[in-house]
Amino acid sequence: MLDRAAHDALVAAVGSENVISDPVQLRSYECDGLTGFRQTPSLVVLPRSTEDVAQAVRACHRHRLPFVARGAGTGLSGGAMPVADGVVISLQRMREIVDIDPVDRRAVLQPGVTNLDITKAAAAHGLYYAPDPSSQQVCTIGGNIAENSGGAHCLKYGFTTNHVLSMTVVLPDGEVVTLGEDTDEQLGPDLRGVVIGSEGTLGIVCEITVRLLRVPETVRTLLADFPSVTAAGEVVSDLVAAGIIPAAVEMMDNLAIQAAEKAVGAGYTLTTPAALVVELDGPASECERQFDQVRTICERHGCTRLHIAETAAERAKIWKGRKAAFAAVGRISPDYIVQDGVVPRTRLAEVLSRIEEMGRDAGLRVANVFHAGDGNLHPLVLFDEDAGEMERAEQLSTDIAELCVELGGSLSGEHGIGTDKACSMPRMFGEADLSTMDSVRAAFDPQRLCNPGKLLPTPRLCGEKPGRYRPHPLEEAGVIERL
Amino acid sequence: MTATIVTPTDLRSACEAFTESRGKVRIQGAGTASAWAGAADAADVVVDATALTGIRTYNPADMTVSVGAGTPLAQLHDEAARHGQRIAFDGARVRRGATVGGLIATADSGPLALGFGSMRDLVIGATVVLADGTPARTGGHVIKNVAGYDLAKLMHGSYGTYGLLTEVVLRLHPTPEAQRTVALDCTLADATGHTRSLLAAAQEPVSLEWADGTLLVRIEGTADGTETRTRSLATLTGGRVLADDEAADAWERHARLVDDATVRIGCRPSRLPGVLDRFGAPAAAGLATGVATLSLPADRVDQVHDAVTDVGGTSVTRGAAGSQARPWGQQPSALRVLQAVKRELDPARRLDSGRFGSWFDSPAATSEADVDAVPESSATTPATGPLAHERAMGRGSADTALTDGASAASPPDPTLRTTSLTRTPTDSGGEGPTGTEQEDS
Ligand SMILES: Cc1cc2nc3c(=O)[nH]c(=O)nc-3n(C[C@H](O)[C@H](O)[C@H](O)COP(=O)(O)OP(=O)(O)OC[C@H]3O[C@@H](n4cnc5c(N)ncnc54)[C@H](O)[C@@H]3O)c2cc1C
Ligand SMILES: Cc1cc2nc3c(=O)[nH]c(=O)nc-3n(C[C@H](O)[C@H](O)[C@H](O)COP(=O)(O)OP(=O)(O)OC[C@H]3O[C@@H](n4cnc5c(N)ncnc54)[C@H](O)[C@@H]3O)c2cc1C
Repeated sequence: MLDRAAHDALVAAVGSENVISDPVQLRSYECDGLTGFRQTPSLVVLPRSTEDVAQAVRACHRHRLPFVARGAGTGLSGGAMPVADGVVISLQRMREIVDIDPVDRRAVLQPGVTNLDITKAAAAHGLYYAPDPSSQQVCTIGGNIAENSGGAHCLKYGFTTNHVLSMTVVLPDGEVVTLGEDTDEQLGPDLRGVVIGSEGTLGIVCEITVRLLRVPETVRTLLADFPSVTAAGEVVSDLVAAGIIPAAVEMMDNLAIQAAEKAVGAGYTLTTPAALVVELDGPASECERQFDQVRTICERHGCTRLHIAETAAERAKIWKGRKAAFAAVGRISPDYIVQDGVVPRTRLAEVLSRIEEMGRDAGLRVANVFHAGDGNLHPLVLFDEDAGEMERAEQLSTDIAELCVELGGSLSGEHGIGTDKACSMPRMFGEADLSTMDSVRAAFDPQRLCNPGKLLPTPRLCGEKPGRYRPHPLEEAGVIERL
Repeated sequence: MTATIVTPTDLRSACEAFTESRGKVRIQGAGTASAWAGAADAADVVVDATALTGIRTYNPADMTVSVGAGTPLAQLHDEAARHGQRIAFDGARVRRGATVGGLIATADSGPLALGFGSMRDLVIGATVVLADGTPARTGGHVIKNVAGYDLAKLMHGSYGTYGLLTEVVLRLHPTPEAQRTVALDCTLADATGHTRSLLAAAQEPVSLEWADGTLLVRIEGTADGTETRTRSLATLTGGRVLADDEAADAWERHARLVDDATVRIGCRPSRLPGVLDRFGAPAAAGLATGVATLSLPADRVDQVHDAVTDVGGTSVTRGAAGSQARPWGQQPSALRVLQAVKRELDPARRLDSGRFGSWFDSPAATSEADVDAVPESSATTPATGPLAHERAMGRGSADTALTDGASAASPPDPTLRTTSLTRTPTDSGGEGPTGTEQEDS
């Protein structure tokens, strides 16, 4: 519970109509998309302006209350999970699209604007916002910035960090600053780039200016079935070798295909061991030629069915299946965990066979959906909590993420570290790396009030000795060094 | 004062360059940007990064490469070209031997920025040695990666003030099958008009620059596609498709304009022509990116700073401006955070921050937020330097150097953290945790 003075200060900051203190209502803020981690907050405030946010943060700062920013709560790493006796600052009432500037091709947004609404608002000018997480209908631009979210089209177009020009940030002591500029010409070190992907630990992002891109002249999409995941993987390598950067290359294995097909009937082949969605976009004269090359490469690797979307509706259907894949897994398993790890693309085949082995050993099924172009895996570990499989599933999922690190990759490609993987961080980073990150955090938030306990391991969360650091394979090979 | 020059060749000797030296340190690359921004301070030690060279890992199929930060980018271009790949970066000083680390530290960019961004967008991992000799890694070897803070961004534009980049991991792109440039001699006003229609035409130029009287538009892609697109652009603008050698000359001329500039500016693209018009100086201007370099007498550079600040833009001196002009136009809004990061990463202030002029000389005025939270008496509490000090020592490897450095350097400024720690008891009525406890937990 909050003490009276703190409660009153927060009510004064945003107005009583923008405060939730009813215990039942507070419950709906207890977790994000990672529902295994729960904590009911003491209070939720719903500011309506940057100034409200600043006032609320100042009140927290003055009363030493930890606070957690929250967008749509679709995060998958427990980043928006409240902290005990803390305050949630929800940005859901800041949903205004402040400006769309078709000349300088940019949009100014409040943090609660959903990702898809940016593109909808820009469409009238032939423009769009490129990063497109599968959750784009609901997730917010503020959450996207916090997680440096990606999407299927990030292989060609980059991630959130490549599309944000500047943002107003309320620092953890309530000061309001602007990070980033009107152009990429920087004024000193790039703090904007540090805050993007910092998972809400360095401040609350309020007014955001993003770049908009011209809608490409042509988009060509195909769905191709393959006799094995390996064959599909070879297609991806050959595309790269041919110098083609598709707008998107997504792979699904048979379990994922079955789930997606059951859920939305996207026209996938139920029996195929693997399928690729390949999309090219750009000027028509470029696209057509490369699209022919893609078809040839698919055929060379034993493609068993090649379906080319001829209309916008067909294209949308292919994507609907892919984007529904996570949730669809619920149709083939009572429970599941979504994992998010990255390996160098050349190690895709290896990681997939290791995952299969590990699943077999654990007696659990793993479905695979992934952004094949950049080696970003989303293994879905299927389990039945009622059958007591939960702990085993969590262990398997963690082991998969750590396997990615072992193969020279990363613990997370887009969902973030949050609460979920903070204790795995020492697998990827050494003590000095983590303490340097912690120093940067201290520069922004000396009092550790801003989303504490997330992203970096803490003794409270992970025990005194969070898992031992395993030497990076490149380190073992003598390619990189750590002193 | 003569400075000792230390030339590390690997990570270990890079750390030793700090742990086994004392006093003020300046980091130096190839020297191609030696006169950019402010003047470096006098240093006791110069750490020469140019022997931290060579490709560490390059797997063309993954399209990533890790290199020593002192490697000239041009050298990396040659190696990548052998595999049909490139680092999609063409800042003018690349051809003068600029190092990967120096290009990152100066946040430089070239005409390709329109299509591919700057180094910031190409760096996926880095190893940095901090002023106390601590080696810290950030990012990794994969293009997609959100684990931990992206400290390579912090190094981008840091002019050697936060640490020494020793190794950098970059993403590569395929070398395009064809490249073509359309040129049109025209006024700035006409070029501005053409820029709008070009961008609306979805032909996706990778570069679009007005080089002092000539609009240059570069297209890349498949051989056929590039032909089709450049021809349609030429028709649209009344320009001419250049032959390969003509194109090379035109871009070389552009690069020389950039080399000779006295000031670099950035503002909203639509506001750029207005600024350029006011000065009428020779300029290389990215009309679609809003970034331009101008050559005008050093005594007029301050006027450019003012004009750019008026339109909300950024500006910094280059090369020939000398010390007549202020190095930077407006100050960053978050200067206080930049200073706090400096105090965290380099509490003894060993690394030179003279390139930022006076930004790091004294703490920025306390924010409104501070003023409302801090009773005057505690705001003026003297700095508790040892706290910051202890913390840095906790990193281990560099105790001695740090102690030496700290005593050699001027005492640290009152830190952000220290200020807030001292006010803890007052603000929370003595009930809250004490600052020290919070720090340790
Ligand atoms: C079905 C499904 C599909 C998904 N697909 C993708 C995908 O393809 N790619 C991808 O990258 N992610 C994906 N995600 C994950 C998630 O949608 C993204 O991480 C998204 O960016 C989170 O946005 P949000 O508004 O829901 O943020 P929340 O979950 O509310 O918060 C996420 C983090 O951001 C912080 N935060 C929120 N707003 C702010 C702010 N204004 N300032 C500072 N910090 C803030 C929070 O404190 C928290 O740490 C998916 C999730 C689901 C459920
Ligand atoms: C009195 C005086 C004498 C000088 N004498 C010499 C001389 O004899 N020889 C000479 O070459 N220069 C000399 N200089 C120039 C000065 O040393 C350099 O300008 C300065 O150190 C910046 O580096 P750079 O010129 O090598 O530029 P770049 O290599 O282009 O570097 C530009 C910026 O990037 C930073 N940087 C470069 N590499 C890295 C890295 N790996 N990690 C982090 N930051 C990096 C630098 O600190 C600098 O801020 C002198 C300067 C003065 C004032």
